[in-house]
Amino acid sequence: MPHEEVEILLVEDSAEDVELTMLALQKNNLANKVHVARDGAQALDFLFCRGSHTERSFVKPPRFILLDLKLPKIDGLEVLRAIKNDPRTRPVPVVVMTSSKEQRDMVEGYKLGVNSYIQKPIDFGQFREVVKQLGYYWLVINQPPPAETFNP
Amino acid sequence: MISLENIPIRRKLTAAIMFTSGIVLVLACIAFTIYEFVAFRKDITRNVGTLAKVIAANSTGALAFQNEKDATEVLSALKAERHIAAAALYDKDGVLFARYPTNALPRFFPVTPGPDGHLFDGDNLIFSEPVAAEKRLGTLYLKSDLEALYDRTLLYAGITVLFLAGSFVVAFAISTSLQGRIAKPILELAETAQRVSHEKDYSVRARIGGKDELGQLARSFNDMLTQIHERDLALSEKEERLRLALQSARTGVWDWNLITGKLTWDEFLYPMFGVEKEKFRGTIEHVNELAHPEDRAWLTEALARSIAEKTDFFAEFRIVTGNGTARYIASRGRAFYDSNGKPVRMIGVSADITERKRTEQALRESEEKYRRLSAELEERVEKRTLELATLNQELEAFTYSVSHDLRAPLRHINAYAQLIQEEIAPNITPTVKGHIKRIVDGAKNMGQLIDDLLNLARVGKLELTREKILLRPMIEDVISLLKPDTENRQIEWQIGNLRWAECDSGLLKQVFVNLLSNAVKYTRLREKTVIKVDHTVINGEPVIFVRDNGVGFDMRYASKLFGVFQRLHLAEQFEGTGVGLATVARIIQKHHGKIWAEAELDKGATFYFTIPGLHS
Repeated sequence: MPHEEVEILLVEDSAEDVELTMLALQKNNLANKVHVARDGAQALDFLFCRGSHTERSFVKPPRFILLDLKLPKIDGLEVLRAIKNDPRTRPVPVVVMTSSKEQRDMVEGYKLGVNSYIQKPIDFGQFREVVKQLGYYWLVINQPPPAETFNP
Repeated sequence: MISLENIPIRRKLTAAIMFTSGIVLVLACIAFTIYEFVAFRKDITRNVGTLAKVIAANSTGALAFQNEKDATEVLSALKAERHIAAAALYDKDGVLFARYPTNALPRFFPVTPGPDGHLFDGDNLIFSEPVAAEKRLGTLYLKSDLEALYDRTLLYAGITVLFLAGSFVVAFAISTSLQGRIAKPILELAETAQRVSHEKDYSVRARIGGKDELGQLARSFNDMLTQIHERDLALSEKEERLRLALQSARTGVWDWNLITGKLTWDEFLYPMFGVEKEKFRGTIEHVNELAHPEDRAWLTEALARSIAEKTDFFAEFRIVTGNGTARYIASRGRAFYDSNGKPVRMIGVSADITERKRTEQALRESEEKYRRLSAELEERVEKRTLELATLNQELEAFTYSVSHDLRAPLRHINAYAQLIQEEIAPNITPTVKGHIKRIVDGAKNMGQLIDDLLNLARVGKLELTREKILLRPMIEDVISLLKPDTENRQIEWQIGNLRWAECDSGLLKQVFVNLLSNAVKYTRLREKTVIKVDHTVINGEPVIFVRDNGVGFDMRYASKLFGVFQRLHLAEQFEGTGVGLATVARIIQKHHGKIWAEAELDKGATFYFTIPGLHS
């Protein structure tokens, strides 16, 4: 998918969660342009166009990022910090979607500038509903940042 | 010679009175005698004068006629007058003419008559009386002895002496009685004083006679005695107290004569130093021998230095008593010097301070022990704190991990079970569907349990933010939150006139959510549910309560109500995790309030709680 335009960056270490999220997206026809990063390092490589993603461009960022917090190598909040600390990535909407609703994670997330914070519901039906709504909201309803937002 | 001062006052008084009255009497007698003498002489003079005039008148004829016989006759009439010693008539020429007594020799008469008048010549009174009838005829010479005068004077003198003697006797009698009155109080006083001084009995008192000087003296004397008596008592009391103090302080007094070298101890020092009184040599060297060998040299030096530098001596030294035990003695002393600055005496006290030394030692040891213990304790506390911090960190990591990692598998179980169900939906049997539902519900319940437990843990760690909260709106808000569970139920909410409380809003809301949802839950079987939220006063404290008409519980299990995972009902009867009331109790506890419940099986339950800053 490297040369295609990525719409969703899914940062998720759990294979099951990747599958379940993908299932939820597919059910709503939203899974066409999803890139999966399995840890924080992969996510940052992708976003900052480095490593195996040097051919990517900052001006073509994903429409939004679904970010888990507990991640190997670099954890979710660090990834968020890196994104929001860099003007080239800052405009990209980041949705934290995690198992917990730990107070300190929420506080830290919002302080770093997260655009949305969602606790994954235990009930699969509800989970699917949440994913569906997220996809619609960020891909259809929400106006993405204009291209010049990313021009240095 | 007896000095006047040594004569008893009784006799002194008598003597004074007798002397004074004697002098007065003697003077009075002398004056009286002199007066009598003078008066009688005048009498005699007048009598003799009259006689002379009579004789002279009678002799005029004889003289005028120069008749010697007549003249002699006239003169011899004088015989009747015993005191007339001699008489003579002289003619106008002064020649002896007739004489009386006739036998008297002419040389007994003066040759010529003296001048007219009278004169006292020795023991005689001599008159020269002119004899005249118109003209001078001659002179009468009349000589009277003064025997009568002297007799009389002697008589008077005798009477006076008798009177004097009588007066003395009377005066003596009076003075004896008088001096008795004056001297008696003095003598009594003297006797009292003697008794006081001999018997040292200050309790006796002198008799007070009147208000005169003696009375005053006696009174003053008595006052003095009282004062002395009081002082004596106070002094002996003080002495006794000092003795007791010295005794109880295990203190003795010593007195060191620096000239003779004699050291005197009081009774307390012998037992203190463990020396029998008879065996004490009374020298400073002996004391030094009693001292611990290590203390001897510096003790001697300290004494010498104190005397030389005129500073107070103070030393704490050890002695070794007869039975070989060491005792600690504290000595304090001061040297006294004569006018030349030579040290003459040193007085001081010594006390047995063994107990104190032992106590000090024990105190030092216990202090050391305490220091060691407290250091140990501190170390332990530090270690524990560190352990606790580590544990806390671990716990935090644990809860963090629980909240993240434990929920994930549950979600997966739930999701895949649902996916299976969807996959086989067309030919699913009711049994399989039931099994899958169990899986799905179990996962959901466990998720709920994890959420509740995490919340309980969070409540424990949370810092309270107190604010003023209106209770009614909060309760109404909670009721509306419970809507999913109250739909299709007939519930009568009775909300009392609750006003406001000062507490943590989020936590108090959790309390109401738990209590009200419980009330809703356990009244599920009632056709008509009544839930009352109100306030009351119990034991003078405002209390909020939540009452329902649900299934209630057996009060025997009331103590289990607020424990974590404690449930009084089966989960299939009434769902729940057993964490809710534990969380409520934790929240109330954090607010320093109290929570308790009253219930009866099948008759509903009432949950009461107090919360500080509650205003109803």
